[in-house]
Amino acid sequence: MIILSRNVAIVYNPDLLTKAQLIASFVIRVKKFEKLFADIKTATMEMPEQHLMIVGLRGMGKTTLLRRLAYEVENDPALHQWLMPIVFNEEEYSITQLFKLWEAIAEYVEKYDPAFAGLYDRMDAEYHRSKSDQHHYELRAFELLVEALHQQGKKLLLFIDNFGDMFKRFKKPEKQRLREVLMTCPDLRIIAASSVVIEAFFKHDDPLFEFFKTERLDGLDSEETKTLLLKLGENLPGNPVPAIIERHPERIEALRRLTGGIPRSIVLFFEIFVNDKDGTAFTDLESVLDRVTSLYKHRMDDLPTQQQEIMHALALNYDGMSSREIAERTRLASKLVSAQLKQLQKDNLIAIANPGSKNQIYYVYDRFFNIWFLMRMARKGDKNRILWLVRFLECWCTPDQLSKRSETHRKALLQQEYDPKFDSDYLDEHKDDKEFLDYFLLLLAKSQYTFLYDYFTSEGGETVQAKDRFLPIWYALMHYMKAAYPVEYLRTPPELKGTVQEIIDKAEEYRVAYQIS
Amino acid sequence: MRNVVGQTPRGADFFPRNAIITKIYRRLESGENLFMAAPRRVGKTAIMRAMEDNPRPGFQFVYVITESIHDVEDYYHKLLTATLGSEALSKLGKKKEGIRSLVKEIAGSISIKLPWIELEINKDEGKSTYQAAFEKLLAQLDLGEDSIVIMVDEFPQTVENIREKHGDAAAKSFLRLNREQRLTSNSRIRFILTGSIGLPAVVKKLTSTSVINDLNVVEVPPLHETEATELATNLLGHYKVEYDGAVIPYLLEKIKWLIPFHIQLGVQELIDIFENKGAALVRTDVDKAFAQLLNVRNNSYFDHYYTRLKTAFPEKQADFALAVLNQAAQSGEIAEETIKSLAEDLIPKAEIDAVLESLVYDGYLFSDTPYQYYRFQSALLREWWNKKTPGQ
Repeated sequence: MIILSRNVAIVYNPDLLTKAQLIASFVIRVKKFEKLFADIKTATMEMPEQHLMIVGLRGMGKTTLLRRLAYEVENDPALHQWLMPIVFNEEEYSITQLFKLWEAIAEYVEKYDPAFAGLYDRMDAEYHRSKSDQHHYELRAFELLVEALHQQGKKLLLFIDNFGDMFKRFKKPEKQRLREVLMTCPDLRIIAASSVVIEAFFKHDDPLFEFFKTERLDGLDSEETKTLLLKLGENLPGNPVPAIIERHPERIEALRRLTGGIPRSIVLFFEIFVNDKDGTAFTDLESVLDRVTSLYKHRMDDLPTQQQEIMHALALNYDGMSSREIAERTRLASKLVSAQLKQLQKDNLIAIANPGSKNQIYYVYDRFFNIWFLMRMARKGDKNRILWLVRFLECWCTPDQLSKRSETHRKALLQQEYDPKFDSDYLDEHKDDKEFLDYFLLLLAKSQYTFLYDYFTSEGGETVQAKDRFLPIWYALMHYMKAAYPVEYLRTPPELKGTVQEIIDKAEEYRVAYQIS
Repeated sequence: MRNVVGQTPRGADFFPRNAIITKIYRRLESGENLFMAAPRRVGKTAIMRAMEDNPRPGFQFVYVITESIHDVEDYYHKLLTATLGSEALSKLGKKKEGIRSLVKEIAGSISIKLPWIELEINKDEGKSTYQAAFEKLLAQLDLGEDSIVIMVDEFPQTVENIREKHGDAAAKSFLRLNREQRLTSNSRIRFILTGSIGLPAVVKKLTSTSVINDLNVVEVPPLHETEATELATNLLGHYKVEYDGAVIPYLLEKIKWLIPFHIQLGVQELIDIFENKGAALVRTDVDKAFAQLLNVRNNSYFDHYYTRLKTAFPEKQADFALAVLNQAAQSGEIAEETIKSLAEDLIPKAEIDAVLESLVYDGYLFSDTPYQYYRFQSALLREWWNKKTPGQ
């Protein structure tokens, strides 16, 4: 267990890995890595180069990817001769002004290559000569950096994590100046990373807002998730991972979907998988949530009271909500809610499903936090919503799920017999029933939207919480009923969008297969 | 040719735009100073850098970007050091001695560092200014048969910066000074000014446009279909993307406004799709590329068009502009009559033309004059707009 915990901890934090360990454990994001490295390798940097921004949620592997690229540059003899990969710390709190960026680079390059020794001191001497004229000192510090690079015949590849945090500290003239430098200087190139989409930290009038080419890191797909788990399993005696993948693929797939395929969350689940080989996705989830409780509890505790109330309302609702709905739920004044929502969005705690439209829908940005909240902080009944969701996903992700279904419902449907005992007893008896799921699919394929909608919103449907039990079906229905309910489908929790799309695709497939018009 | 999105494409990554470059040379040859007018991302900077990198005989170019300049003296310092330190000047072989002594004379009174003549002299503070030194250079530089063209990028932003920091009077005086210098400089020295915000709009806020009426306006058009096809072919070829014959025509048909940037964005998505798919692209992949292009991940390429309305115009004008754009996005076009009726509750008639002019200059709309209609310049932007403002 000690070995296992250490391994898990290491994967959680790439800073703790040696170069050899990081290279050896780098098994996901391989395509993206190869693409970016090919770009670096073919760029001669004789002219100012295209700067890149890797965007992805926290835990998606941005830091690891940056480090992997830096190591590859070091390992490439041809590149290494003239290109210096400089990896910034994950957080660079001291870089608050542009001249401090040049100073930080001076310190990094001195450490990287002794030939640059004295560069920082030369800047420091210049600072004292400039008599606190920071504007002119910045110009001079940059000149000194470029002179040193020219003298040594080197160019810089700067890997800057959390670039947005650094950038937003700069004043507008500094941002303008940075754009000028990046536009005209062929001696440095930035490969940045950010956990928020670019427009969240670039304002429209920021000179750099459209200057970077973005590369997005999305959640892992099923194959990548298996690859990661198998790699992690290599460290264990008698690697149990292949057996788990073989016996319970739905368990892994359900959790992958629920966590949005975030590698860091999958690493957390890994330990649970191997400790409880016969567990279910739900018991896995329970165990992992215990581990993140202190982190997430702090996140809530640190918020001002009104923001806590808003987060509470949003997380408890799970589906997206409008500002008006949040105001009603929290009993706070609308203006107050709007102001707090802006702040929460700025702090990356919430996001908007449909930015810019009149009726914006808000949701909790970190979806795993939302799940934790429902499971740990909500009243007892709300916990069931996640239980049902996990069951739904397990059911949906079980191999050959649909081919095994009976033809009964399909025939009934085709013969216009729409009444498969749609009552609460049936749902209670068949809550995990794949046939039931299949039947909903056929109703969608048959365009029986109103029928299905009436059921979900009927007294019987509400009593058994049919909507929560079949949440992805509900959102697929809302997709089809967009014209009548233009806002509802926007409430879809982001981690369910893929599953909802699969349901829609399957319904369309049925439509063709059964020649339903 | 690599697909450079965001940075200025240079060298082999620049798609040659011979027609517009020839037009610029023609105007320069007839002694004009130019203002290069075009909306954002049409390729102004790339064209200037290409001229600098490959000058035609008899011309040398100096490129300067002054976006971060907030003071008049800093502006002239930058122009002076860029001009004196440029390869352009060092290439003027026969005249080198004369230039050297002029530079020494100028540099004797200011702080300047010029590697090509190994000269470094400290500033004799208070006795001279960079502005005076630059004016001396403009008046006395003997270039023989050659001409030197100083290209100032983001000039309107510099005017705005000076206005914000020092007030309207300082910005007005800066504009007048620039005009005087252009008109009195050595006839072998020419200027090209440009920027991502419209110079006329910036000037109108301050003073009469007569301060820039000496500038000959060169408009940068989008690519012709054949050029756009060649660009897309070159870019896809570089990444070894396989595709059937319908892909490029359909891509261009969907983009409509064929500016290099939008073609590069479309190609970027097609490359991603090809890499994931691993098979030749077909027509439906173009639809997929468009859907991805209009996805949230690419908001940063378009969102500024929407959000900048609030800062580019006073509140009521911004509301009016938004109403016009929403209508044009939904209906595909908007008639002048409709525009007038939209303005009724928002702004006086006299302000309508200024708002429309700005929307046209900044690349939102174009005027279909014979029919008195306005349409979205970019089909991509129109689709994005509809997605952003459904039913508004």
